[in-house]
Amino acid sequence: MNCATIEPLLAVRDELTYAQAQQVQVHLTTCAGCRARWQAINQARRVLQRLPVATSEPPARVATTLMPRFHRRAVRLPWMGRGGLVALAGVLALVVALSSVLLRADSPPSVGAPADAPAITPSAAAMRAASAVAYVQNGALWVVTLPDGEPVQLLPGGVRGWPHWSPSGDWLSVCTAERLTVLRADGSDTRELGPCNGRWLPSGDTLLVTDESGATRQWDLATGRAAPVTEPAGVWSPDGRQQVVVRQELLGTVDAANAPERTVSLWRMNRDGSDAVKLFSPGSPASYGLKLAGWVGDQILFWPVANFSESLLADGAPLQALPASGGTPRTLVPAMLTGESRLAFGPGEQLAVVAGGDRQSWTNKRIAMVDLANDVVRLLTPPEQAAVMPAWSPDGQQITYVAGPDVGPVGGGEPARAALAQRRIWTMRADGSEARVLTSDPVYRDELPHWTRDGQWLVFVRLDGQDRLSLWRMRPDGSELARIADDLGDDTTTDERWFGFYGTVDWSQLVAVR
Amino acid sequence: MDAVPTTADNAGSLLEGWFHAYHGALFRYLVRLVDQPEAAADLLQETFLRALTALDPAHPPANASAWLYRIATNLAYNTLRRRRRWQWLALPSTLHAPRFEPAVAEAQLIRACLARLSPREAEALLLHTYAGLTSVEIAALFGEKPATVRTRIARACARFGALYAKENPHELRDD
Repeated sequence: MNCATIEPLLAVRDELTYAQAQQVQVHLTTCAGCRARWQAINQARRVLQRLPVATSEPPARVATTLMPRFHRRAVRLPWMGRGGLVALAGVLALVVALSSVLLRADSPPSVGAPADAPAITPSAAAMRAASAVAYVQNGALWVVTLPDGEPVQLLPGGVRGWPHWSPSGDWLSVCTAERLTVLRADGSDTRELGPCNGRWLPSGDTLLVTDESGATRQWDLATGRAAPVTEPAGVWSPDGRQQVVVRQELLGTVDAANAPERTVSLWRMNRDGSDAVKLFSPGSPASYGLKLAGWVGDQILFWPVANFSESLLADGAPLQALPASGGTPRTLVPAMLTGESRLAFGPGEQLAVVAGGDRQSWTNKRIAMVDLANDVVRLLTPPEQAAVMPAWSPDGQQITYVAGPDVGPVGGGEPARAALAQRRIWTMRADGSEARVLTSDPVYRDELPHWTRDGQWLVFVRLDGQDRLSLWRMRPDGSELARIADDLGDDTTTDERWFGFYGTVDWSQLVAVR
Repeated sequence: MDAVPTTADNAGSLLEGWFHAYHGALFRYLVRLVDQPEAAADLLQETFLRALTALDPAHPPANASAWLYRIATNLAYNTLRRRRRWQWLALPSTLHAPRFEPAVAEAQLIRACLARLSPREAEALLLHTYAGLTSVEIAALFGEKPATVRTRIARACARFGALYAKENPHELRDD
C-alpha cells in the first residue's frame, strides 16, 4: 500500500478488515508522514468524542405539530388566491373596525430599514454622499462608486461578508474572520470592535457590539469611545430616542406537551434604558413569543411566534401592530413571511410587505402596501406572480420588487428552479399602478434590487444557470444597464446556491448599497 | 372497495412511521450538535417537514434513517454556521445566556470548529462521528464511492484538528 491508498483508511479504522488493518499498521511503521497524519486524526477524533452526549427526550410539541401535517400537504391560504383581494378587504374592514384610533405622529420617513433592525433615517450627509456599492468577492471587500468608478479594494482577504454602511455613509462594517471590522469608506481608520455580533444605531455612526460574554457596548466612531448598554435588543423609534424590547423568562415549569413555560412581555424605554414601561404581554405562561418588525409612526410592529417555534415561523405569521402607548394588538396582514427582505419601510407610515404564508418563495407571495395612517392595506401584485423583495425609492413614489411566475406548492426540484430562473426586477407606483418589468435577459435570475440613497440607480444581483453570481446597476427606468462585478461569493457557497431556503437566498451577506 | 391511498397519504404514512422509529435518537443527535434542546426540537420538526416536502413515496430512500440524519445534519450545520455570522437581525434571548464553565467552553469550541468546515466535509464527518453511519452507508447516501467518502472524512478530521489546535494550542500534541 502507498500513501494514497492509506489515507482513506486512517479515519475509519473501526471499519477495516483484519488484513487491511495489518497493512495500515505496517505502512505506518515505515512512513513518518502517514504516521503523523494518523496521530493528528486520532487526536481530533478524541476531541470530537468529548462533545457531551444528550439523554433527553424530545418535547411532545414536535409530534403534536407534525402528525396533522403528515396527512396533508401545505395548502394555499384561502385569502391569498385569485379574488383574494376581496377576502383581504373583508378581513381588513373587520380589523379596522375593531381597532382603536391610530395614533399619528409627525416623524421623518424611515427608508429601507430591515425588519428586525432599527428604523434608519438617512441623514442629510448621507444623502449628499456619492452612490456607492460595497461587495464581497473571493474573501476581499471592494467598494465602487456609481456609475463608472474603478473598484477599490478596501480589505484584501479574510472577509466573511455582511457589509453594512453606517447611517451617514461614511463608515463600513463587515465580518472579517470571526471579528467585526469597521473602516472608513476610503479604507482608512480600520478598527476591530469585537465578535461579529452588532448593528448600527439609526443615526450618529454608532454601533452596538455584543461580546462573547453577552455584554453589549455602544461604540461612537467619532470619538472612538465605548459605553456599556444595559438592554440593547429591540427596535428604535423613528427619532431614535426610544426603543422597544421583548423580554422572556423561563418559569421553571413545563406545559402538557412538556415544553418549558415562560413569560413574554413587550417594553418601551428610553435609549439609556430608563423609564421602562410594559406595553403588552400575551399572558403568563405565554402561548407564543414576539418577534419585533419595526416602529412606524406611533405603531410598534411585530409577528407572534406560535409555540416559540422558528420552524413554524418559517411558514409565515400575521403582522400585528400595537400603539406605542400600549393597548391591544391588531392584525395588519393575516399571513406573511418574516425577515429583512419581506418588509420595507416607506415614506410616512407606509410599508411594503411580502404577504402570503408557506415557506416556498415561488408560490403564494404578493406585495402588499400597508398604510397605517389611512388604515389601508392593498395587495399590489397579481396572484399569477410570486413577488418578493420590495424596495422603496427614496422619494417614496416607486416600489421595486422581484417577481416570477407562481407555480404553486411544488416543493422544489426542477419546477421550482425553472420558476426562480424567470425572476425579474419590476417596478410600480406606490399605489400598484404602472407595473412594468425592468429586466428581461433569460440568461439570468434577477434579485435583491437596492436603490442608491440619491435615487439615481438601482443595484441588483443576477444568478446565471451555473449558479454564478454577478452584481449589476441600471437607472430606475431600466436604462444604462451595466455589470459591476462578477463571481461574488465566499466559502459558504454550496452546490445548490439557487435553492437557498426554498428560493430565499441571503444575498445581503455580499452586497451593501449607499 | 378500499380507497386507494393518495400520494400525500403514502408520504404521510411513511413519515409517521419513521418519526416513531427515529425521532428520539434524531433529537439527541441534534441536541449534541447544537446544545440547546429548544433549538434541537425546532430542527427535529424542520427535519420532518423537509422530509415531507422532499419525499417521493414511489421512490422512498433505501436507508430512511440515514436519509433523515442527512437532513438533520445539514440543518444543524447551518445553525452552527449562523451562530458565527454577523447577527444584525438576531434578538438575543435571555433564555440562552452564554456559559463559560470549562466543559461548556470546550463544547462550544468544538462546535465552532465544526462550523468552519466546508459543508461537504462537515456532512460526512458528522454523519460518521455522531450519527454512527459507516463510510459505506454514507457513500450510498451520497451516491459516491466509499473510498471518496473515507478520504473526505480523513481530511475533515485533520482539518478539524488543525482548527481546534489553532484555538487551543496546548490541547493537541503528538502522542
